[in-house]
Amino acid sequence: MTEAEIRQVISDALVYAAVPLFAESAEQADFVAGQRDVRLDEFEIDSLATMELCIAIELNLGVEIVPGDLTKIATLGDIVALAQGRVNVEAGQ
Amino acid sequence: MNLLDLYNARIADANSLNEVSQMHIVFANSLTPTEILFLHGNLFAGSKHKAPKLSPLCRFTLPQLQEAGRLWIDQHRAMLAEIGKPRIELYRRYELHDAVVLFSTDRKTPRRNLVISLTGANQRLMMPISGYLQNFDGKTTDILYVRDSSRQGYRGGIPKLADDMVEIGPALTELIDLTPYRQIVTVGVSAGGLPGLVMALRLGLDATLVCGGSSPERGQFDETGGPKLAGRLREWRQASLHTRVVVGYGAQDDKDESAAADIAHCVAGAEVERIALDGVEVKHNFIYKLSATGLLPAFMSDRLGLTDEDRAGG
Repeated sequence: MTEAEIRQVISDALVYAAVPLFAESAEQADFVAGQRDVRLDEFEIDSLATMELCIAIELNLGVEIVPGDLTKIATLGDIVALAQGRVNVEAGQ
Repeated sequence: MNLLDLYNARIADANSLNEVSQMHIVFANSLTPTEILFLHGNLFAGSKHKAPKLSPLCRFTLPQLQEAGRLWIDQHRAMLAEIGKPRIELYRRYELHDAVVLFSTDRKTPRRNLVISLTGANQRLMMPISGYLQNFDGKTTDILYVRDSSRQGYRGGIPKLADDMVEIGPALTELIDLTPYRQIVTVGVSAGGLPGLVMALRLGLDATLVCGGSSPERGQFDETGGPKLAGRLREWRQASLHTRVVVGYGAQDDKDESAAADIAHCVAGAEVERIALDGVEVKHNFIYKLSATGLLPAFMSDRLGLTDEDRAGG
């Protein structure tokens, strides 16, 4: 699983959760392209959207991140790094 | 099967805490205020709740499940309390279709008012359905909950009900007899805002409340080469001038403010309402903010004309 694929999973999850203003935004496009990071407080990501994000990560990446893991996370890039780390552990890398 | 048995049965299929969350999300889109109250008093409450059997493959412990379950139900109970009513509304659930549920205290005796409610993200009305119901008066008002079951913002209509957003309203009249109701209105939140507006105008209903709705200029309901929604709204408005149209937006949401202006530009006489609260940032989800401050029942009743004039003898 590449970093680009993880970015796409996270982006799709936030669109699926209908986080206001995220879909079709410049921030979304730049994040997926790996050209910029996005602070979580730039968007209204409520507790339900956080649950949806964690569910999507588990379904698509096969690693478990729960909402409690994200309480000290500041950016989407941090979530990518967390997910990538767990994917690597699962893969024994 | 009672609710605790249903909860336990679902838990038996869950292998991770995220799967438990999925189950909680589904419950939150279905449970009535009385069911929330029941679960709050019983879920993982000592001898009242026989602990569920966990799947042999599950990756969480019973204490972790209990913590997640209690947190979930405590949040729902707190949401109901924030509304500040002295009683719990006694709505019951009547499934009319995969995507359409009637909430009524007594289906055999329709109430005076019917609020047709169209969802936004996660098939929600900007809050769990129990919280939404608690903001209405079950003695006077039935709620028809119309889910965006395809999660496409009602584009393409509703599977197995209507092939087009515009046809949802007429299709609903095949599911429920509207004639007993004195006041029939729609509430559309977020992606459900424009479909709720269209339904109210097409069916000539009494009122509609658009909450953080999209701009008709975005074109998500425009077909290539076909008529634009903005133009069709103007036509439908001319045929339904009596429909009260209220378009609300959160005071700190510039995009929704702009969309509200676009809607009003297409719908003559629409009332655009900026929702502001002292010391509270009000963005897209303004009805939850009003609910959490106990202001939503009066707001809904006033904007939608949900009076009790029959019982009052008016």
